[in-house]
Amino acid sequence: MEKFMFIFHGGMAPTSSPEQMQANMGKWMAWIEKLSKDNRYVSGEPLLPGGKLVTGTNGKSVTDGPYTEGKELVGGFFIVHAKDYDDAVSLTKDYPDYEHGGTIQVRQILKMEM
Amino acid sequence: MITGSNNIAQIVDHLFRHESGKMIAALSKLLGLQNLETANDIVQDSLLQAMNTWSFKGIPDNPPAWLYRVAKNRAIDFLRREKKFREISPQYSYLLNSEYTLSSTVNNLFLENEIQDSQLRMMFACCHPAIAEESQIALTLKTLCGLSVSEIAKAFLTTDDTITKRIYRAKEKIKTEKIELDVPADEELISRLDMVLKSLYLLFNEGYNSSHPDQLIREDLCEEAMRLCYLVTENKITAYPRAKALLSLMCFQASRLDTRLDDKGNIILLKHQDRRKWSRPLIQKGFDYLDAAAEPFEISTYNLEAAIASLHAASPSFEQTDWKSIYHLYEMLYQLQPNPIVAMNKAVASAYAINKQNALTELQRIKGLEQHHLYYASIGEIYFELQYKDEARRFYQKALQLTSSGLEQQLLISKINNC
Repeated sequence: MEKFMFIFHGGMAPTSSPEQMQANMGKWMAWIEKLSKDNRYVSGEPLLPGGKLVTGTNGKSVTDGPYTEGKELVGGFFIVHAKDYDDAVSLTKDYPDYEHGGTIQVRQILKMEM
Repeated sequence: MITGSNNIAQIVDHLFRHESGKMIAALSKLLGLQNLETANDIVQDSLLQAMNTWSFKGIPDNPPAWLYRVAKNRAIDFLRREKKFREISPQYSYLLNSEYTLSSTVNNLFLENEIQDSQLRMMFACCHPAIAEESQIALTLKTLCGLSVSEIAKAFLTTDDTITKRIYRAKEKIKTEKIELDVPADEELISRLDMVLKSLYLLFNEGYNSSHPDQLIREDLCEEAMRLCYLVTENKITAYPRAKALLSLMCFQASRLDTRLDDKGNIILLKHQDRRKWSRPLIQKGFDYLDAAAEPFEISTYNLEAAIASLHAASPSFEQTDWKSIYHLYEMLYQLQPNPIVAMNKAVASAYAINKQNALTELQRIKGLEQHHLYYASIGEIYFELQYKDEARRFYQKALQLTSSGLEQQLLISKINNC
């Protein structure tokens, strides 16, 4: 098995109602539970909005950001086990935020050759 | 942390919605109702953070406490940043001014009994006489029940725009009238309590009587009205018999919620409902609150309506109902509330308490229901029971022209076909 990273962009609007948020949370939990049961889920973390952007020689320039649009903002990531790209993509079908305009970037994690 | 299987089942229905209402009330007491928008923002932020964290990490052992901690920290940040305690909340400015007492003051406001007190005050603020009735209900649903504009619009079968305007107008009144989270004293308390109860009853009826196609939405509205009414009956200052009577009435009505539609979604009238399916626990609660409403003695419209509902609930069948007592109670209700709807219900009860001819005479004497489909449907029903089928059909058809509800139309069409 290879490792893949799911990077989540966008998702529920911050103006969603409490009931919608709770329903969305239920779907995420069910998804993680399913991936865990199939021994696919390795780890995952949600990310707070905001952040810092560090650029320039020796990281001299530190600014607030990235201020991207809500739909591009990275909201969190998973690490999962999958055979190949096709297999990894097949695991994304239960992602709950498609209906809220969210997208997933699927990336293979480079294995250190020994 | 609660993780693994069943972690979703561990979280109660509507947790976010209910906690949202509690936190908005607590924060509005802390920050003053003039900062309702800030309170809303803090709550929204806290819920979003919970959603994101719990989705990944599981639900904490005490979800409300987790939410309150986040909300409290944001409120403290806001207070430190603004540094205008006197303007924000004169009541607490002295305590909030010192770092030493700041967090304990905020913490105290999130204790269970303080939250309940804040919710009650919020109810009274939402029902301020300066705010129009329809705006009162919209604001109550938004701030105390955690419903979004779209959810309220959906429940009332209207547009988001209409609800947004109603809430906007309510908020404008909060500003111009400088409404705060006070429970008024003495006589004003009673008149405001009556407005709160009226608003809760309207909310309940919106769920109970509406022909909304979505059963879940209707049940939600009834449940919210009952939850808030319960809060009123739990507070020493507001636990008047009329509040308990209203809760009793709601319990009796709600006990029949599941039996009012058949499998195909058609309306089943009281006389054809399967009484074995009425919810016994709710009927029992109805009787408990009716008993509790008996002292100190007062006759409110809610006491009378609850008493009528209790007689229906107690009867094993439609025919065995104590119609004489019901008719008598309607006569008393008409004294307190001489409106044509009560007159119509009284007349219908007289069909079984006295005789059908009497009911027809009473019904035909009523003025003011010329546009009301139930009025014509009731007359049609009496004619039908008297076997005057042509007359019955004529009135059913009149009723049919006046209702826009699909369910009511179906019922009337089937009645017309039976004539």
